Amino acid sequence: MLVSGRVAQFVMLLVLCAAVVLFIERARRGKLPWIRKVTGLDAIGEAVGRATEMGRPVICSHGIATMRESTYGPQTIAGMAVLSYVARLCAKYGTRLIVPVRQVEVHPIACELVRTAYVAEGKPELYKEEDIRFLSPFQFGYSAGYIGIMDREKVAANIMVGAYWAEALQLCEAGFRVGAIQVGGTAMTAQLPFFITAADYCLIGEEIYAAGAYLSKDPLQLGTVAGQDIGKFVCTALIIIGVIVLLATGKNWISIWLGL
Amino acid sequence: MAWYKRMEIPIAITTVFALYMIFEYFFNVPALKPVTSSLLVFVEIMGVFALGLGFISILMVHVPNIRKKRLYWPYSIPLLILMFFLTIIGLPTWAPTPPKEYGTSLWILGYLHPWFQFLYLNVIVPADATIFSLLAFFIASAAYRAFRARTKEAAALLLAGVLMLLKNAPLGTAIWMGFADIGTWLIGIPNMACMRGITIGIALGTIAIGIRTLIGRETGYFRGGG
Repeated sequence: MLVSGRVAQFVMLLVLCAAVVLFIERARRGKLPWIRKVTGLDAIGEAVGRATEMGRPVICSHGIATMRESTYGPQTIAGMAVLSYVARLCAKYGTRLIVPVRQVEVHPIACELVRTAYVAEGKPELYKEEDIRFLSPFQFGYSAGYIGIMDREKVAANIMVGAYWAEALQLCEAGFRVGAIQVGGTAMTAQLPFFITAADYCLIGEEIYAAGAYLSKDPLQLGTVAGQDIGKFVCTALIIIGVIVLLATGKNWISIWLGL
Repeated sequence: MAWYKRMEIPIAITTVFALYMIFEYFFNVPALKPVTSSLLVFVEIMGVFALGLGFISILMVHVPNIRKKRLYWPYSIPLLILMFFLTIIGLPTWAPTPPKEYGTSLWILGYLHPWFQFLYLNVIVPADATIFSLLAFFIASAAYRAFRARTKEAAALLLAGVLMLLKNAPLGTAIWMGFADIGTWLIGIPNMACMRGITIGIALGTIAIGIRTLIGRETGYFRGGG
């Protein structure tokens, strides 16, 4: 009944689910996992604080992907968690927040998220819906609009967490030109070098997925991050066993088992 | 609180449909195929409806721009004119005697309209390509800042960058063929090892965020981060 070639994936998914549920249960019983410091996420507070001191706005984007694609959607969700945190900080300090949006279906979610953050901080009057801007569904139309906003508004902080493509470097360089402190994060491996090179702080790959848990400090969410480590141990073990078996037998049994 | 505002409802919808999609991916149940196709079409249709919201968002920014004569307000005028123009001519039109290339359909889809095609091919496509081409200059300026050997890590990056340049530029291999081998080794061994490590982390992170969403703990996307 299982689709052939997907048995190993299913087993791995069950193992990971079990690990995550185990760590959630541990967290529920009060055994909180230790999570290493993520400098890029800690720097967000610093970036918003700097913008507040300078009296200039913060620009925060969640990537250019929709929420429904299996590879890119989770990055947008991770970007939304960061946007929510940034919106709360901006509301707390009374700093203007601009959110450029490329995907129309994400626009109402971004609006609601920022509005909720301002209401939660007791400052609903500071929320401006026109600052959550749908720019263009075209990748470079969006990029041009984003660069234009940074230039006109002279933003002091540029926070970009989500799925980005070729516009990643354009946005970072434009942010550098206006003197903004920049935090970039993506799981797009081809764009990571650009963020590392051009942004002040960079969240690499899986760090963006941990953002929601790290920033909210919710013990149960932190439990899921710790559960990931079990997956890493399993992957590392499979790599080591695979190398040994390949050297001993001349056949790549792990790849055969995984259906690769 | 009204029952329809309770946060359990979006969590339940997310969980049910996520479990269904996972089940459908791993288990071979032919009867579910049409249901899955319909669900995916449903998602696409919802996405199209959101276009109207994008339209309103643009109006909310640019109409006040013009009314209050904010900085660079004249640029908002062509933007609004073109947006309305493309929307109107982009609508399907009734053609009792359709041109041959449109077949027998009496409704001609707007994007096939010659004016739409003209604006798309002669304004949008070149403008898009122009912005994309700016990337070359941005790469140069970013490389200038990054490739300064102020620390050991930056020096290593500079060295790797120079070696890759020499591998890819014809001049490098003209000087010494060994640059090609060094470049290939850099890409294939240390770079590949790092990339695979990052990719494994990303895959596990994606699954973990999926599980959090499935059990309703990842709430940033619907209630302001909890």
